[in-house]
Amino acid sequence: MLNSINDTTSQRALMASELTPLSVLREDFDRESVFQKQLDFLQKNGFSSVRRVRGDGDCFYRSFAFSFLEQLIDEPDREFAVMRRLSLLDGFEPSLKSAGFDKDTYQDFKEEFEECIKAFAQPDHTGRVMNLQSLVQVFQDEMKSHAIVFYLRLITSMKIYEDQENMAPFLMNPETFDPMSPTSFRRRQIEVMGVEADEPQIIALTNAMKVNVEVAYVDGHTTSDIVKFVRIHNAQDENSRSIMLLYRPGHYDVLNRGKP
Amino acid sequence: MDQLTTSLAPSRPSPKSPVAGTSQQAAGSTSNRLGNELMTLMMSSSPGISAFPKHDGNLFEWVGTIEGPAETVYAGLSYRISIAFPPNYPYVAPTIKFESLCYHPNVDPANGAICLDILQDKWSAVYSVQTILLSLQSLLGEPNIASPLNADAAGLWNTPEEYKEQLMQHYRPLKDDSP
Repeated sequence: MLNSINDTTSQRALMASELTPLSVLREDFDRESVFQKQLDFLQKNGFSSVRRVRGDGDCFYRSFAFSFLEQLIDEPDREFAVMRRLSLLDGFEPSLKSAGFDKDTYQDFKEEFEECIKAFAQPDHTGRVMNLQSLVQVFQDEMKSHAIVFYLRLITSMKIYEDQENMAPFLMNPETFDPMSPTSFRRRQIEVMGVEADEPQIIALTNAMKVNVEVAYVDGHTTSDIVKFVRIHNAQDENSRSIMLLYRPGHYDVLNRGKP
Repeated sequence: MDQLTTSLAPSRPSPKSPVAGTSQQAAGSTSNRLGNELMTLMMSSSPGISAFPKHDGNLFEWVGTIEGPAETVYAGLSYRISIAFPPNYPYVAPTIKFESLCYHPNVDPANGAICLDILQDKWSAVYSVQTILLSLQSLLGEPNIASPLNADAAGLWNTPEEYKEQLMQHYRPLKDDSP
């Protein structure tokens, strides 16, 4: 199961140009399997497609970042939305410092993320602001894509450091389940590219970024063919839309509603 | 572009045109980062470590020098290393080797390869040339005996007098050329 997902995603572009309809995705799974039934459940509930992200261990961070930025496209007041996100990032500075990160070590990564956010309000040299197509291109560019992912890894690490008293009981080695100290968890399980995110990382990042995230678990485990949604609510704004992710064993993609 | 096939289709390499563009940009932002690291290294005064690009105009190949830490068996000895940066540095670790013969439990006597976790699977883009050089410097005095590349050296580590004798037999002082 795990292998089949990795095989089909590890060779792909970092971010797919086109959406994959759930009806196509279901062909990856055995007929009549729980997986297929779970995907059918999602379709019945208004979800239509996923944007596939490469299965390289960074898929949670990359999917999250893409969806976080994609939401800017539909913002009625883009200028304001851009300013709000930029000030959120600036607000991390003291905490990053307390968590032991010199500005020199993360400035390049932060700038790449900021440039991407700003581009939604400021026209580039050709007079265009960021749209879905150009956002996909940013995420297909290895260096830009990795810079954004790595910046989010540092924010995640910063948040774990800040909340270490609460987080410590949940930090463990994903293979052996041995407990890990916050310091070694941050070094080994967050600050290294290609290391997958588990629940502590997901909670820490969404918490820091003050966004709501919903993860649809198409995990083949349920007996009732329904999909379990894990919702993490952090946004202060009641009307805030959630970042929607689809989880299949070992992998995250961006989940979309509406027409494929 | 990627047509998003099902698992039945064989995996294909990424399309050509964006890849070519990407690698050029990649080299550009990596060059900037390496330029900044070079500046930081030159401005900071970390005793006993230094590194510079091997040739003018190529930031991707460096040579460095590491002096053994004081109060260790390596005190007073200097070693030359080479550093090769991949085009997607800092997301992938640089390749580092001892160019001087270095008698040490974690250095392969045949080719100078180094066994140090932050240069392999524990590499993180928060590290820099400076942190690598400092880690290598402390590795000299504090080897990891559990995973040796040089079993002889690992075996002698706990008998300092014999170790020092072997160390000096293998040591070749650096000539005074750069860096």
